[in-house]
Amino acid sequence: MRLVRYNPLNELALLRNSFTDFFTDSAPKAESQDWSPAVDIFDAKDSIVLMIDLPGVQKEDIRVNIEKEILTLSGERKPEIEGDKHTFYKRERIFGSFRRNFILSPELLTEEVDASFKEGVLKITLKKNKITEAAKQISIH
Amino acid sequence: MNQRNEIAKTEENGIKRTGNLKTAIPAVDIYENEDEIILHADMPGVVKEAVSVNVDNGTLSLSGVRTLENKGDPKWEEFGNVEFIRSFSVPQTIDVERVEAELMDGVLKLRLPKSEAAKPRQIEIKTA
Repeated sequence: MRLVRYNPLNELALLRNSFTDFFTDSAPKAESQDWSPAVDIFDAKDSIVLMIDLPGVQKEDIRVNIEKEILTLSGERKPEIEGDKHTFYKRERIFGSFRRNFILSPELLTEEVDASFKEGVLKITLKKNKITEAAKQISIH
Repeated sequence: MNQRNEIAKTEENGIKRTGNLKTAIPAVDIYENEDEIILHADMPGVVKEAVSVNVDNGTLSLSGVRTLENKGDPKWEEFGNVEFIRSFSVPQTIDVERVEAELMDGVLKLRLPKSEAAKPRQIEIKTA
């Protein structure tokens, strides 16, 4: 088992997410049917890296938007084969539109975002602002 | 003492696995048309070199190791590094020699052609 450092902000973000989920659930139904891709988040010292699983999704069908402190990932996973000529035995994979929001910490520079897509994994790198970090440390003392 | 533990561990595990990775069952779609059976399995983050597909004794086994280049401290992990493992029994009508596999955008696509004998045939009726 891997140890994950406890970060109270994560809990807070989760709570905030569940709050927003609660409120957006009353929104039009089409939106609540979106699926939510799995994500891993790493802290790479000078940046925060998000790894999002989007197997079988085309690059053109992924949208990443940042508005204020919210990063919205959305898009569509199109089914590969449509047709009546096929008999299905198993259909476990999810297709259709997906959406996931992330609340960004203020120390991240939203102007410096890098995104790449490889082997069905979207990697978003958000640079940290060193100046605010330093300033924060001074204010503690 | 340590050695004994080791032996106990290998007995428990039984199946040989590559390293100490967690295992995951990939989601699959399986469908069939006149000529072949098609299997699509989701394996995000797996590179071609880390995939193995075996057909042995009527069993098709898939394995794919996912190693993300994580140079940082994991803050939030929903998936992590895993080994995708799943096996299926293959009907005898499949021509094992002609099985094709392709990996694209984190999806493993297998085509299992049916043997000529198993394809639906139109039988011509001759007039005397």
